[in-house]
Amino acid sequence: MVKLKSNDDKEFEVEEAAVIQSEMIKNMIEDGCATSVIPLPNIDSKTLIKVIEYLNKHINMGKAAETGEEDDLKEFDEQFVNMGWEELFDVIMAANYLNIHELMELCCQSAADRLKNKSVRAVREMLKITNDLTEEEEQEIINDAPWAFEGPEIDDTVN
Amino acid sequence: MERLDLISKLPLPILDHILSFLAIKDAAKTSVLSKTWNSAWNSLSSLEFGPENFGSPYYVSYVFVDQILAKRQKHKISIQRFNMIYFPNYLNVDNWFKILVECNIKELWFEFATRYPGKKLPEVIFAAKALNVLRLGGFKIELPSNGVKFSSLKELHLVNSFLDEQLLKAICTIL
Repeated sequence: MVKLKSNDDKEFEVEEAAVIQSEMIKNMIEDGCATSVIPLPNIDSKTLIKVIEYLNKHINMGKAAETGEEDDLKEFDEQFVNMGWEELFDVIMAANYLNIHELMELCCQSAADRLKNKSVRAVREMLKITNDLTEEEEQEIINDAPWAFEGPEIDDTVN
Repeated sequence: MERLDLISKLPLPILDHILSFLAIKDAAKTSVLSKTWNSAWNSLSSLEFGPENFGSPYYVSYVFVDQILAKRQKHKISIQRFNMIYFPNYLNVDNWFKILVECNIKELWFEFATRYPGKKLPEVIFAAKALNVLRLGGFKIELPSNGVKFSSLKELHLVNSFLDEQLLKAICTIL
């Protein structure tokens, strides 16, 4: 077992086979730098719980392919990314820091899927973006690439 | 009331990664969101054009491909990945390849909608030193006059393409 400590001082025990999906921790273990507790100053406990949930589920990924449990894993992944934007970005940052490739791809794909076909107004609303472009700058960008901003598929709903 | 910009905590490389999962139109649309998003779009390292970008098969709006590439060429922005799938005609393709090589393209996937190898592969691509992965469809591929200079090529995928014998020999010595 490997012990991880979040930035709000909570400790979690994770099986080595699960935790080595993180390239960063795998390297630490290989270099003998993971003797007691591994502190993760960039990750809070709420996010770390999510990451560990993912690692535990994906522990036997290779095996899943053999036993036909891929569908189960796919369903888990779909459920897993069903979270708010803020939480999703926290998990992305954690996956990036811990260097967990599959988790990073899963979450970035989910973020991209949510932006697909959305109107500019809807994306600003969803991500609470403060528009710091002047009206002239904005118009210039639109005039530069009008094809990006038109089309019947554009979806103005916020969710 | 103070609004918390959710994206502000994501570093640019991560934003770039998220945008790389979007088709070009959706990625371009984010350029007007704010200054951060605008710079993310302008430096986006992965450009993905699908058939949905070209309207009906008879109407081709290749102008925006020209615009995007010209901008990257002008500002010397490198392009990691360029995917163009089911492109319906040959217009400007030579110029695009030239720009892609200038922008140090690493992964190139270019397929025409036609099943016939009707377009000669632009010779300039053979000088793409950074090119790792090359996927081509619908090209006639001949040995270039200056020889094959791929030095990083690891994968080559060909569909609906024709290779001449000399090129085959040259490729076999490289891969």
